[in-house]
Amino acid sequence: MVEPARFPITLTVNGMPHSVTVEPRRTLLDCLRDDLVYPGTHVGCEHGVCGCCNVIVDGALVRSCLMLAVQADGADVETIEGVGTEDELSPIQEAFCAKHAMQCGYCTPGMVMTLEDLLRGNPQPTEAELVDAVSGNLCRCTGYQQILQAARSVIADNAAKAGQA
Amino acid sequence: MTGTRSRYRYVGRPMPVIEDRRFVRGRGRYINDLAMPAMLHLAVVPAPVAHARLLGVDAAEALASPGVVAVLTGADLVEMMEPVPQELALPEVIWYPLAVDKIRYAGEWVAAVVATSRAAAEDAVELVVIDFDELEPLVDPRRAMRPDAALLHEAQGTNVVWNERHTWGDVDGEFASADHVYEYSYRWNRHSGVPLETFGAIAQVDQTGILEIWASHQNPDIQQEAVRVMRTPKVKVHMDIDIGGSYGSKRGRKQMYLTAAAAIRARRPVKFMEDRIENMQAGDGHGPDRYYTVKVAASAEGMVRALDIDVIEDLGAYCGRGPRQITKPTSAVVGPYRIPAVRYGGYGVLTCKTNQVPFRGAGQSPHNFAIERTMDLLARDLGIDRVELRLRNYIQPEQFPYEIPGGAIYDSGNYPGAAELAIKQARFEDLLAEQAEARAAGRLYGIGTAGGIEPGGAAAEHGEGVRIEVDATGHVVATIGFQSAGQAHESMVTQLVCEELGVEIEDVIVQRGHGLGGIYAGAPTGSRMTQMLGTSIYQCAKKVRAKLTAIAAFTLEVEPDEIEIDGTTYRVAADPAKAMTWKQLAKTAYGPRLKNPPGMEPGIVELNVYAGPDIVTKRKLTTGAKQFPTYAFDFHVVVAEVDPDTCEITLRKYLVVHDCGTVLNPLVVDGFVYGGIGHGIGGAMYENFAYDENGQLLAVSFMDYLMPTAAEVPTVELHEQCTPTPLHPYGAKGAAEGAYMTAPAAIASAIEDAVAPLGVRITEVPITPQLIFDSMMAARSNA
Amino acid sequence: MKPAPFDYHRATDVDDAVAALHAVEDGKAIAGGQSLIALLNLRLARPELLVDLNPLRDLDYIEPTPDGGLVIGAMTRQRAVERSALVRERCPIMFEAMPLVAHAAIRNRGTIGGSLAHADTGSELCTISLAVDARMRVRGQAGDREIKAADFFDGPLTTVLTPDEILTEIVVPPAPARSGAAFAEVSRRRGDFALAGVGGVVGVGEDGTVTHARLSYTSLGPTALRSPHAEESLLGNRLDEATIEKAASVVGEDLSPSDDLHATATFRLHLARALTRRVLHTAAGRAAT
Repeated sequence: MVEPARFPITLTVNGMPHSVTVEPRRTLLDCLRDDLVYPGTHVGCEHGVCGCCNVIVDGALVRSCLMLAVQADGADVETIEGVGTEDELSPIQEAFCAKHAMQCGYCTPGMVMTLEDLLRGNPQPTEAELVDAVSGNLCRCTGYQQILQAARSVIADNAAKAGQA
Repeated sequence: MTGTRSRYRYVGRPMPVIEDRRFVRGRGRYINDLAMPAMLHLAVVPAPVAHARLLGVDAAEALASPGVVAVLTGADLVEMMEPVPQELALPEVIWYPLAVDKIRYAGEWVAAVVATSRAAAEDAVELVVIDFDELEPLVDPRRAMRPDAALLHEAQGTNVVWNERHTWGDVDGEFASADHVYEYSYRWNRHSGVPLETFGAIAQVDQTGILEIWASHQNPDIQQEAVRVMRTPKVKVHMDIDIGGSYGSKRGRKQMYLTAAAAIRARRPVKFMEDRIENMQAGDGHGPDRYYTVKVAASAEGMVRALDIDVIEDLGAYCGRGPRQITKPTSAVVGPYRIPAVRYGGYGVLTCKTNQVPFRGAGQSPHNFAIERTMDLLARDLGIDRVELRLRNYIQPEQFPYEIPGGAIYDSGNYPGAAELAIKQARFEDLLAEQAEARAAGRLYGIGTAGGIEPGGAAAEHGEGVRIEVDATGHVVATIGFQSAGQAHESMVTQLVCEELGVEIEDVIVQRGHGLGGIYAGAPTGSRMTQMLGTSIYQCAKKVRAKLTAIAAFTLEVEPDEIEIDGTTYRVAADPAKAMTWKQLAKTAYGPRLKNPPGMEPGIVELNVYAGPDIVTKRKLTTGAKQFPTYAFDFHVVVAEVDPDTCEITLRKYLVVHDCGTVLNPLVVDGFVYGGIGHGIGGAMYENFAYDENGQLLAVSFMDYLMPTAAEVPTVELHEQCTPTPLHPYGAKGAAEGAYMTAPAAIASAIEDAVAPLGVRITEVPITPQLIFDSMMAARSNA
Repeated sequence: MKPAPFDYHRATDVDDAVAALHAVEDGKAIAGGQSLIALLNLRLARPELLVDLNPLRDLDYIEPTPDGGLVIGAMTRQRAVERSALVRERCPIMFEAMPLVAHAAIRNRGTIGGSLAHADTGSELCTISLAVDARMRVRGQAGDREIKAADFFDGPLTTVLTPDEILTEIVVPPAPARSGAAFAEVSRRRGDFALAGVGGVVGVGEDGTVTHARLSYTSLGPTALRSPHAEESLLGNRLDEATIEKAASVVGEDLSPSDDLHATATFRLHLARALTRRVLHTAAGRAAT
């Protein structure tokens, strides 16, 4: 078997430019984790169901296990490592801590990315829109209750801010 | 809330969970985030059929594949290690991580490829040729237990590896004299915890010759076992990574030993991160898989006089730790009821499926399902209200401690109180009115109730250790001997250290030991860490306080019993101006010996191992019975609606009253209750590790193994009742399993109530639209 | 769970993609990849070459046609279809079904063309293409052609596309006069492939009788398919209970579901009948307004 050609790609992750050479079969998920060392994006199922590997590519939420790294050439990727800082968590992250919206933490990065994506496009989603968005990510610990409580608290804050403005 | 909470500075407060701050930023450190220099990757070769004689494994082509360093087979492992130990003493059921002479289930690992990348290993897996001679697949335990069935382990002579029957009380007499006797059958299909992180392990031999193992395991006792299995005392199992969910599932002993053998063989670090298929087909991670027959003897008033419970448990191909799940229910065999006589027994049968693991409650959830279904069906058959029947039969609050048949003693409880609180909070009368209205409109609308006992604290086998150090600057380092899978143990340890030593949260560091670190620990199973570790911290802190008191007394020139502790200040009770601060005490302990009491060990380092309460450690039980320290209780009210056209099931309301005594941290305990209900909904309605008649697992991906999403789990209304246990310093009971133990029974109760007008009874989980459809068709053709 | 090795070609235009596919024995075009990459990861698909259509941004459009219909470029993301006011106005049944396609993260990347060319029997878009008499415009080494949806799906995960043909555009004709459309499905969980799904379009004449009828089905055969028996039974009749019941009762003539872990063929047929009734009621209501 002839080894397939490897492809040089350049992409931006959380504002940082990266260049790397990958096999075509390498998923964006494995590239982020193992080549570029952003381990916050987690491997759950590798077939697009669980949402543990959700990242934002060029402004759109995607499953990084269902995208090839070669397809991210030139892309602007945002991972959990780019959300919030040690000293200043994002409002979603802050609310996740306040409500204990996690237990083992494994689904949490994907869940946070999903909610970041939802609330950037729509700071005050309806309950149905919220549940629909969260339904794209599996969590095995929480029964989703505290995740939804956390999200609702951020949405309520957004509504209050919008009311003041 | 309750009066018990206000006594404490930290206990009972919704303290933000320390772990959350790293998880929310993707800074958890899981096994898959670890890498060693020059690390290799392992992938396994799955067996294509369910049952076969293994004639040969040809790895020549695989070994020549790019990047491949080694290929291991079962024959290699027989040379390198002892078989993996199992729950029962079965000399002829020999279990290695790779199949040796036979293939015993589809997907069983036959060979392992070690290569420079996981992708290269998978490429070579496809090149390994397995030569085998197919045998009759054993899929149904009721067939496998018959004398004419093929044998999975021929030398064992039978597929039945557990066969006990225990009679506690006058069972036959009660049945003979009962006003009513009914018999019901139930089917509990396989589901499990299925954490989003699969099992992973890394092994290497360090520069001193010590075999190091890191893994997403929840069982620190693996250290002792690994010494025996790997035939070397030089083993160090690490316990300091975050585990991406377990619920009992993360044992992975086979995986750890296989990885260790591969690292020894390849002379390089090896990582084995199961992929989802490896995990679901062969990760030894499935839960109970049962057929129940329950006979019940009752008086005309609906008082249950006796139960005769027969279980057939499908254990899978090897014994593993599965049988634990048949025996645990003996610790609460009658549930919350005053039932004087019980017979409990049955068969544990080996079949061509992956092994069981003790998953969330270790078999108590199906047992509670059988009991609570029986109470519902009995109520229907006797024409007594379901709630009323339960209230009549509940153990009453003044009867504790209460000894059940078999000898287990329930510490405390208030079951009628919890049930009545739930009925009140659910506005049950209004629900009944809504139901009447819905039924009049042709809708299938049901209300379900169920309660459940949660045995907590699993103390019988392992003590629990902690080491508390106070450094020279006054910071407290608490070391525990196991790693966690989301139970917020670092927060609990911090909270209790602060409570007992008066220090602030930011003064406490919690770290994990490792297998050679000298902290004796048992696994976080059986909702045991609040009971066991919590008490150990309480006791250890007492030792620290005693030492600090001695130093203060020596310095202040009084007797120790004259010292009064006020937070972190140790002062002379009679002369409060004479005092030492925490920092002064810490500095003194590490300072010149002359400033310390003569003979005192320098420094402040205290170790404590808690064995468990006397009720477990000092009582001998009846054969076959088990005892847990504490018994929590919960009561669920569920409203379900079934679409009469499409058989779709919707949960419209979910309310639970939970009583686990004192709640240390409501944020954490609420999460356990919610999460347990999430698992319960999954098991009750969606999840099924179904096998076809050839023994092929049908649910090998998340496309077919259906775990509920946020759209399937309704908003849960949680209320608390607090009945503290006398067996814990703060009155806390185990809490993380009960909601899962009760939810499937409550959901079945609601769905059955919805379809009851059609003459349908629910005796099986998962309750799917297909099951509803089939039941409706059957009821229609019977009518 | 890593894909088997494959080569990769980033297409520069449609002709380049066609040529690249033509040049190899076992090439495969990748659009959104939301089904294909999962199959690659599972090693259930193992092409020697992937030809990536994602650079073909000129296939990403939703445009009105003068006759009142619309055309959708094959590389249009499902999320764009879901949010399109034009789709909502001119193909409301597609708009209604889009949120049922998996989850937002999948729809952000998944394309309409990819979904149709993948031809999964569980695909809502395939069912809808049949219900609205869509036409597929394709280009291959042999040139361009247009294929009716009714002729497009050929079997499990199979279409009539030749290995070097690429779906470039979906033509959605204008809705028939005085028609209404509806889609309904039953799935185990939010976002799952349906156990059964039904798309229906009915047109009603001035006299209240059915003049146009399309009923198409998800997960009720090897691929998306229509029920000519049910359609025929509707034509010329008033859309009353009896007519709807008659249509529902004959759908089994055309459907051939199979058993799987989640539903038996018998139950799927039951659902097909129940959803046919539901869809016809809704569509009838919409046709009347």
